[in-house]
Amino acid sequence: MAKSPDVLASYGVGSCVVVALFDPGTRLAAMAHVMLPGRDEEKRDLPPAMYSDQAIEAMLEDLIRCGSVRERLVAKIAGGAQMFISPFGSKDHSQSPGRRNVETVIKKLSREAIPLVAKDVGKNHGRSIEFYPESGQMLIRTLSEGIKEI
Amino acid sequence: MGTSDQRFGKIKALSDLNEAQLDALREMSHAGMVHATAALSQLLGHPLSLTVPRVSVVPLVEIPGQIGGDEEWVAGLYFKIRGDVKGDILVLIPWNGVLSVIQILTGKRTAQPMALTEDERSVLKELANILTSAYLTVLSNLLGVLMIPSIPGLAFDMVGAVVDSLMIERGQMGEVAMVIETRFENPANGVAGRLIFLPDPESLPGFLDRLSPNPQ
Repeated sequence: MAKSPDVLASYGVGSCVVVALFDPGTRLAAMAHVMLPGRDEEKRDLPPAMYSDQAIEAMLEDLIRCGSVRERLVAKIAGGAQMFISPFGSKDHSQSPGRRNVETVIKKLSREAIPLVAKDVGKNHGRSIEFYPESGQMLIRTLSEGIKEI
Repeated sequence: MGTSDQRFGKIKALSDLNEAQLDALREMSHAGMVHATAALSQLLGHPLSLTVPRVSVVPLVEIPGQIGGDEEWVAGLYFKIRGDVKGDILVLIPWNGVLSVIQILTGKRTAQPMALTEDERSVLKELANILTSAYLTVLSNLLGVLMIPSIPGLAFDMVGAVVDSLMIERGQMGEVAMVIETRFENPANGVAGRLIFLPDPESLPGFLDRLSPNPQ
């Protein structure tokens, strides 16, 4: 979690998804780098921050405890690439782990009634992501497409 | 023959290997790379020298750091392994290595990282194919198990993104991998690369069982 003028950053994101929650009023933001869909789907025992549902709940709790107003919160997400075409060609793209991660994150945000205001997801390239609580901007750097802002 | 459980206790991960077992793996990996060098030299029609590979067992998450950080450019070539022992192999070649590979194998200097031609991509895949196949052939022969690599998937990107995708693909975060660092040279050029081997947890006991000679 960070408050303006700090910056939140995550470098070299592949099929993981980065979720930033931002309160424009307090200029407080939280960002999580989630690796797996919900805990039920994958029966692995990993730190909660790795799972999208738990990570989003934890960020909400932190932001509200630090004075954010829930109704003001908005979300931006990036990542969920499919870096490799499946070597066996059997897995269709809609089933790629990156894609599933993105879908789970979007579902969770909508269940929590947090508007998703911008996203840059999918494709086949990695991303480096910075989030600026000062402006609410998310900067995304890629090897193939340069820098973009959402 | 005892079962792997009797012999090794509860080995679940590569990190549970003892020094003797690691040495056995190192020796095999070295033999695999010697085999790969011979295959490459044959393909090129001139000799290549091989620097003795370093074999280590490290957490997957530490690999980007070893290569220069999450944003370092690499070619990542990904193979699925099928057969008696299942798993994944990722070959990582840093950008300067990519340049050298292309120069050594095609005699041409390549242009831009993001403008690799189809031929240049094929050359990278072929190199990774030879490394992986040679490595698996030696391992298969020595251990008496069948391991067959898929065709490679290629991603040219930030190493952090490549490794994180492998972790997600495997659905495991804290996993350790066997990392074989190797370097090929001809008089003009050298290529350093890493071959990262991740046997699936289900395949590991059978694999390790064959690794160590029976203590009796």
